[in-house]
Amino acid sequence: MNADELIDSYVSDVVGQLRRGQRDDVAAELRTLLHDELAERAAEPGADRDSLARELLNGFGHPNEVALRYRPARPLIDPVDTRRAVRSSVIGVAVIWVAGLIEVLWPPVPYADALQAVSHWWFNAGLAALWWPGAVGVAFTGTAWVRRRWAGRLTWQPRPTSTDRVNRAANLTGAFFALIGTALLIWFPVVLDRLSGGRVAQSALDAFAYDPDFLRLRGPLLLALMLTQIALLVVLGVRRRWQTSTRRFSVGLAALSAAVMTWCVLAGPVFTARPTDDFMKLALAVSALLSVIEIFRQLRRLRRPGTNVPVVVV
Amino acid sequence: MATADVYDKLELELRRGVVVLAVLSQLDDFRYGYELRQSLAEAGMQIEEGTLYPLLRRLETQGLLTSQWRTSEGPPRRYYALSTDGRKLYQRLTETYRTLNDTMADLLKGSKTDER
Repeated sequence: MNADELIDSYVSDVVGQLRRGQRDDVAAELRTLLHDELAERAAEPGADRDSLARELLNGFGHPNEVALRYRPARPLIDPVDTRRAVRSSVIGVAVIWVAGLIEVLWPPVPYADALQAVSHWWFNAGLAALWWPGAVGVAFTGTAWVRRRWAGRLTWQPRPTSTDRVNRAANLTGAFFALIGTALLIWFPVVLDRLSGGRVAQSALDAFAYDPDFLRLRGPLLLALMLTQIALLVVLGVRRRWQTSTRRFSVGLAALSAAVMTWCVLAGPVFTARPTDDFMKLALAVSALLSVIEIFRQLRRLRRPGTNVPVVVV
Repeated sequence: MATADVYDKLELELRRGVVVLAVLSQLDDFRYGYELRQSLAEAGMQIEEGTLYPLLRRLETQGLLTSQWRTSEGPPRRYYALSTDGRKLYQRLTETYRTLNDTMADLLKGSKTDER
């Protein structure tokens, strides 16, 4: 490629990335300027015009960079959100992939069918999970647009001061209703039968019969965790404030609860009847997710930024 | 000790801050890109061609420069000059630059790390 062809090719790559209406004008100007620059460099007798042209264009910058200088691009996602967007995308895809894998590999499939199961997972949950980064991207792009559109009105507002105080009445009321809910989970068929005066059909009562295998270990463990959670509510209500110890205890309890609830969802039926079992599993999955959110919330409170910095005394 | 890399980056940022003012200062009359770069270089303000030529376009888009194609000397060339708005803005920027320059001179005079 000789010098003129090099310049033509370079100019074409630059203007190809500009607005259609701007291309011819910029191309004509840039071509002339590059020829002027080259003429200056190649003024010496015997100068290698072709290699000087390559040197000139390398120094000018990659066509992508030059096109950006002509038409600075506005990032779709605010730079301040980039890390959060990447993290949300990666975590979301990982969660969907893991949940999909559990679905196809649990209960354990025979070794011979594993490859087929994984292939099934890839073409269903594996590829389908890619909608999540797209959704995250759209959400953050929308956020950036709103910020730019109403930049003048969106002034910073301080968040309400975070306190360790606890509303006693709300906590004790919550504990009371949680206790009633727990009792209902245990004795719901009995309560239903008593309240209706024995008029409820046996099939309706059977719908709330627990699976015997669930009652052996998973049920009691879940019950113990629920009662511990209620006890924590009462303790907080009495003390009227969170303390480091209660926050740490809450993190541990939430982690254990999330693990046990996930186990209950995956390990087999909770109720013998399918509809109630499906509903309970959905409720357990949502509760497990809320527990994970609670863990992050408490950890954030435990780690307040800027409270512990190395100080040099002068 | 700052590395050469860090120095290069910081120096580039420092230069970027004054490039626009330097360009505007030379466009009282119509000039084309190559000629402008030469005159800036002669005055000691080296600006890379890959930076200067797109900058002229951007300043024109912002309404600070006006341009026209001229064919009188050799191939057609695009000539740029300050627009009416550009002139007003240039005056304001010059005042700001002078104030900044005085402030910086005072600050650097008082700096203990000044190696004069």
